[in-house]
Amino acid sequence: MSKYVFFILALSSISALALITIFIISRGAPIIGEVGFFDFVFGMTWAPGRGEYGIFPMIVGSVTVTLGAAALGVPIGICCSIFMTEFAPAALRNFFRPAIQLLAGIPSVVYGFWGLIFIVPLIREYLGGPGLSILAGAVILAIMILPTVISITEVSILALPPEYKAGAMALGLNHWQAIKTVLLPAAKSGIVAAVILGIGRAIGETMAVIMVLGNAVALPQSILDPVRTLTTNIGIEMGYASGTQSQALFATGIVLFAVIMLLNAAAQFITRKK
Amino acid sequence: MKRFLRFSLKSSCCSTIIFNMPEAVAKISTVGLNLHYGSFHALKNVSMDIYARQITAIIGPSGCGKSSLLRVFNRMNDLIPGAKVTGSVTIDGSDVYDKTSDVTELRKRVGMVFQKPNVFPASVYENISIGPKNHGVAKNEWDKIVERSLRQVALWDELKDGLKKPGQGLSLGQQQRLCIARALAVEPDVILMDESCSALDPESTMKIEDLMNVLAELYTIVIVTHNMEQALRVSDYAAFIMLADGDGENKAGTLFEYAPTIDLFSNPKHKYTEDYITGRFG
Repeated sequence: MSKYVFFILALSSISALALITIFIISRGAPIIGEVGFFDFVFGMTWAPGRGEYGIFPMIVGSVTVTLGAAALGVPIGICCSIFMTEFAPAALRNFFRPAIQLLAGIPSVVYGFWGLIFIVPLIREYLGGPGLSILAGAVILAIMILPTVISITEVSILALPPEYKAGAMALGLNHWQAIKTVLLPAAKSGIVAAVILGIGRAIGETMAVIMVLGNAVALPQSILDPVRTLTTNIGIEMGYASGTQSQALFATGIVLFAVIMLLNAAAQFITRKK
Repeated sequence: MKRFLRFSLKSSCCSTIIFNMPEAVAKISTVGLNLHYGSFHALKNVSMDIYARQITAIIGPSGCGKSSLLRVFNRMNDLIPGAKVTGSVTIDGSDVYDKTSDVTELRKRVGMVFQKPNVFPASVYENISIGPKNHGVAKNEWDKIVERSLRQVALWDELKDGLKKPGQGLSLGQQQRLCIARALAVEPDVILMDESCSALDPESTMKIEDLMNVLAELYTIVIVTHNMEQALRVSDYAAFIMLADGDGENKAGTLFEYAPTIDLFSNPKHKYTEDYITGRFG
């Protein structure tokens, strides 16, 4: 009997997924059909007042901010995992690990607020431009993806058989050579998954970036320009959107949903392939 | 029978060399070697000479410190926190544990093959070239080194068309020979083999033993083995180690007997040795 209770409860989590998927597709798909898939995805103008729904600038926004976050966060995250697994004494490791997990516990609105008060003025003062920019978003997201990148990379390095390291050292490799030429290549699939999941986390983030990106709907010319992402587009306009504009926001959601699904599937495929 | 014949031939020839010719060269010498892991006294007062281009087998019951002794020679014990070596260990006269000695240089000269084949998750070619690559050997040399090393372990003909294939796709016996080739690619002069056949089937074991005999023409080989027959078949010298009562209650790995294999097996001087090789304990 209890088996069925658990089954129904388990089913409810899956049905939430199904419900949300069906809902956003049913709400968003008609407008994509109306505008045309190509014009919707590659259209340069987003002007709901005139009935123009092109999300390409926002796709560019999401991609640049996310790639910027990955460019900053991934090397730092991987180096941090290497430090924790290979170099740090146990005491330091036991300090680092919970501290990094704590990073994941900070609410995104706090990240955004901190970015607005601290990072944005810093960029405005030292690098110019309005401060609200791709760079500001990338810095905030880089910090936010660290826990994901670090913990998955760490797990994949720790999962390596100790014989790999012993074998590498026995060949006369020094510690760093052993890490670089044996351990990291051996942990490659896990590290790639860490990067992809980090990117998935970054591309889906809304609250933190809405406060620091400036949210202008235009193709950015430099990383110091303000930009709007797919997520912030929904976040900003949903309050007052109705009719086709609301549908267009759901359609934006479909695109976002598809991208994140694809990234997660890629991460799963890569880790499983091994 | 054939192998036994070769063994006896080999042994007699070796004993001739050692006992009638004064130039038998000690490759590795330990004097008053002690190894501690924290408070555990793993090896006590081991003094022995390991002769160049001979196969020396270290035998003894489980947990007696055989592998620990092997790992003293290439300082792999350094990786274990709390391991401490006192006394002297020299290879070709130079002190292995001297503060100025370079541990990576030492490990290039003293290769090691492990109990389970630890082929890296990379291609056959990459597995072998990883040592030369890290030691700054020019890239255009790697092809030659890979071929030479694979020929040395009699894998070239089997693998020459599959160098790009993953090394972990080979059979276990081939993997272990690949690990030997990988060690040889660094051009060591000593090879340590830590129960390197214990994970293999009899046929692969035979191939590795044949290989040891060939390699002993050029290299000094030290093996740890649980297999008495293997020690008898393959080794020129045998060292029997066992845990013995130390000071107070502490037990410590002690070298009981060290002699040409044929003497140690046919005429053990120590009762423990005799009990162990005849299978009364261990």
